[in-house]
Amino acid sequence: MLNQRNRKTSSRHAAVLLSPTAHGWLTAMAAVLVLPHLGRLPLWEIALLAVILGWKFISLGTGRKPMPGRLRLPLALAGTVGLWLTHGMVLGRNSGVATILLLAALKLQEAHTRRDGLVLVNLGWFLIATPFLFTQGIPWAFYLVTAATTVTAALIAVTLPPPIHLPTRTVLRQAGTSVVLGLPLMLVLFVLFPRIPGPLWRMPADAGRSLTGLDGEMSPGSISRLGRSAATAFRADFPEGIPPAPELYWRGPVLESFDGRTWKAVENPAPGGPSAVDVEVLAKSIPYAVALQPHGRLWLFALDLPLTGPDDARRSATGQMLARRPVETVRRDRFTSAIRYRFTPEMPPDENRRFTALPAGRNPGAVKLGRRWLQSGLPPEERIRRGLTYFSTNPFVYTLEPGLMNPTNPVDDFLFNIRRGFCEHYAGAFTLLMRAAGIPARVVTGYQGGERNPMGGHLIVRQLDAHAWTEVWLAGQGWRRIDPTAAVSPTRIAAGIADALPPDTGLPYFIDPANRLAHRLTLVWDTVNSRWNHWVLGYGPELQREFLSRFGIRDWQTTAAAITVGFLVAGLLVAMLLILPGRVGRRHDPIITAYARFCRRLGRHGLAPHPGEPPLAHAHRIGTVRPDISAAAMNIAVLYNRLRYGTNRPPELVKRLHQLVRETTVARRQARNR
Amino acid sequence: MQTNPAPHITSIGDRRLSTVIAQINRIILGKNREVRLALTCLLAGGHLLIEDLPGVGKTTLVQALATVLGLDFSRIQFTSDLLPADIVGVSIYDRERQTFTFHPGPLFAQMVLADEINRATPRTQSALLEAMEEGQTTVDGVSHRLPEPFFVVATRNPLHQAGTWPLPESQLDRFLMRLSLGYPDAAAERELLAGDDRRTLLAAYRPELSPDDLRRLRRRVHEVHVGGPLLDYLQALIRRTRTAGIFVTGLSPRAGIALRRAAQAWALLAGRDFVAPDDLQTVFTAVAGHRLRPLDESRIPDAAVTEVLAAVPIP
Repeated sequence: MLNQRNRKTSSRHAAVLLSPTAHGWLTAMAAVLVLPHLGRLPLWEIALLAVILGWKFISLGTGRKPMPGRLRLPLALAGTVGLWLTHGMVLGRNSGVATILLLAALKLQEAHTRRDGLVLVNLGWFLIATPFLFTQGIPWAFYLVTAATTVTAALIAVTLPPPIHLPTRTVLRQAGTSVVLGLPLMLVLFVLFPRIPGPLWRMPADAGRSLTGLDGEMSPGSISRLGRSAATAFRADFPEGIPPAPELYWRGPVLESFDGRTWKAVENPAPGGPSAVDVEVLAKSIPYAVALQPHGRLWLFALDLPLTGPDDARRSATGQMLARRPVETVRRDRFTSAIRYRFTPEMPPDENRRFTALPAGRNPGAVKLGRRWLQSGLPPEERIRRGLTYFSTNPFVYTLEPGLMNPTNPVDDFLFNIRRGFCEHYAGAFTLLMRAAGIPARVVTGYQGGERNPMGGHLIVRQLDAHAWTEVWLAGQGWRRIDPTAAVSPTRIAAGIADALPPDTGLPYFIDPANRLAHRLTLVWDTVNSRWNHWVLGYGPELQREFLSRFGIRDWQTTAAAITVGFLVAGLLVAMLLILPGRVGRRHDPIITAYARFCRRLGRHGLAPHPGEPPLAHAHRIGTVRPDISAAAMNIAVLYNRLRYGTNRPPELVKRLHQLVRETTVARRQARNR
Repeated sequence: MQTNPAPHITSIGDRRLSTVIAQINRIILGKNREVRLALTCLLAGGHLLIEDLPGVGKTTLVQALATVLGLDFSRIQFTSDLLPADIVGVSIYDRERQTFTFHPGPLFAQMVLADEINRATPRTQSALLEAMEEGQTTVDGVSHRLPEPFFVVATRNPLHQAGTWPLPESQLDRFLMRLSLGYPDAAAERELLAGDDRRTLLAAYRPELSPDDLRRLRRRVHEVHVGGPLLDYLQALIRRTRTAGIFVTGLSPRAGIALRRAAQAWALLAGRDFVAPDDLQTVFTAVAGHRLRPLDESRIPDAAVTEVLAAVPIP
């Protein structure tokens, strides 16, 4: 009979109406699914969802009328127009999630039958995964469990036969049990499922999306803005110990072109490809691993100067590590870097000229100062020293709040009037002075320093560690790092930004070492997050191999595949053992087959038996709505009962049943013609 | 199309059974289903509990059943001062013969109507219930067999609970079925108002069955076939009451046996020699309803029982 029931399911679901309990659960499910996206959805959509869900809640609670069906089309149209106006034709995470959520809400609004309920539940299973397209933090793992329980509860409520009403607690307990029972299997699959290097698909980037971090441009104020963000940029593990802070320069975008106010990276940073880079290592290289938070850009952060990196990344001509795809999820990479190196000692003159170019007519005072050093005929090293001395001898102040600079000649304003600035002011001004003094120079942005987490032993680099410095090119020595900020505030480089800034300068509360307990809690949380990133988010082919080899499994791929297949087969066997005893001998029972066929045929007209409706009662019901087949239905029911539950089954009666079923055709819309 | 597809279905129910039902239906109007269930209960050899408001025809139904089935009938009105001896009878010392002579009480009848059973004290109630279970009573150490067949129909008023002794669940279990008659529908009521007095009508009735006939029919109930798939279904229903989490306790094995027997009797009344799922469903509420108490006190008990039927697929 199971067999027979299953075959009837599709038609039955269409006919069975959702109970008020099921409506309630579906609405609760929708609310739970919308919740994590509230911060990302456009305001109009939040309002629209609130109206649809709120109306549903109120009508369920008070028994008032549900939203009238004629509002459905206007709502759908408004939603479509709204989506188009907000996202245009862009396919991305934001627009995708916004669309599906809207569809789900509209479907909820018109859901009446069990089939609708099942569609919504299936949509729900998909939607609980969508927050992970944006973030993969620990709180979301708990959200996942909660949401999975809610969706399971909705599934239970939807599939219960209509008269059955289970109290909320019972439904929740059953759903919770199902989810908890599923957790071990989830863990096993997580650990053993063969990992594939690289993503399976590419995430379309959203237009106009902004993440905190460096952005490949630098103008006054752009980096000091980051100085207020305690968000983690990345974490680094040094198996051979963390190098001293003054050596921790994390190399990011290199900025070469200057328009008088803003420094920009050159569009294509690697015209000649990696071969154009000429690096000579002067000291032992340092191995380390970096767990980078997603920032939506190609660049990876490695210590100045990276020698090797992951397979899917390359080093540009400017010495920056670039991934093949934008960093959209936490990624963990191994690097080696040379702290002391010689970088491009030879350079063609035309290239050389590019790095001394200055925008005409801007910042005349600074240009004049640099030219004076050039004209005094000093050697390049001496000119550089002059530049640094200028910062250390004049009353420059290192601060997050330098005040506004003159927009046309910001460097002049900074050098001669305001003399208060953050690293970008110093690096920008110094690079400009060096170019004026005839020395090829460029700005390098990235991070400097970081905080050692005593619990995890790793280095935390936050957005507020963002930094900018200068590189000058000297013939035979190549690019050399000069950090003018160090000339103004040596503490910044030696001890970090927290010590370099005066107290009460708006350092984020939890980062400020003055708040001891808060600072400690921050470090604990950071350790937990670091482990999470390492073992959960960063669990890729490499870690899987490492992990499984601890259990003596060398050929991990074959083993993992074998174990996975083993589990699947075992699961299937258990399922079959549970289902089969009820099926053996039934699948080919001609009596059941015949009756099932009859019910299926009736099902197409919404006349299938209700759950638990016995044959005779069913036939009576058919008789009241479809007099045309009343007699046939009754005959079939009587004969079926006789053969299935009676003492014997004479072959001629079985034949008769089949004949009756064959002869009984259900005409369309007979009920309406009556 | 042929209208009689199953000529092999043998009518093993006595044709006179339909006469019995027709006769009672002339007295109790518009209650065919309840009348049949009451008859089913008697054929299955069980006792019947009728739970309803006064004046809906409880007593008339029982009197009609007794008359048509040819059973001698006695009625005991239960009150709070009724003693066990009042129903069972007493042994009185006979001076001439110098022995105790037993004077049987009103319980010694083939059909006993115990009216408003919950008005009596538990002591009296249990005397009745013991008699129902054992088929005999013991007075002063001497057992007295009750007549055969012996049917008890008890009535209970669901309202007006003040000054009553509710039957404990273990004793409710002794009743095979619980029925309520309810108000008649408009047509039946019209006929009732327009027609003769029911008692006058009843006075003209003659028995349709002899006690022997009844005994034979009761034996036939046991012969009604209960197939494997039906036992599967019965077990699934019982299991559902135990695991659904909507009842305080599930159905007992005794309740399961009661369900089977009632379904057999119903099938016999319907003229079938096997039990179909429809039979089980028809008797299910009447047999299981008073044995199940919903966890959620605010629910109508019968609705919760119906839920079980809708939840269990029919094998």
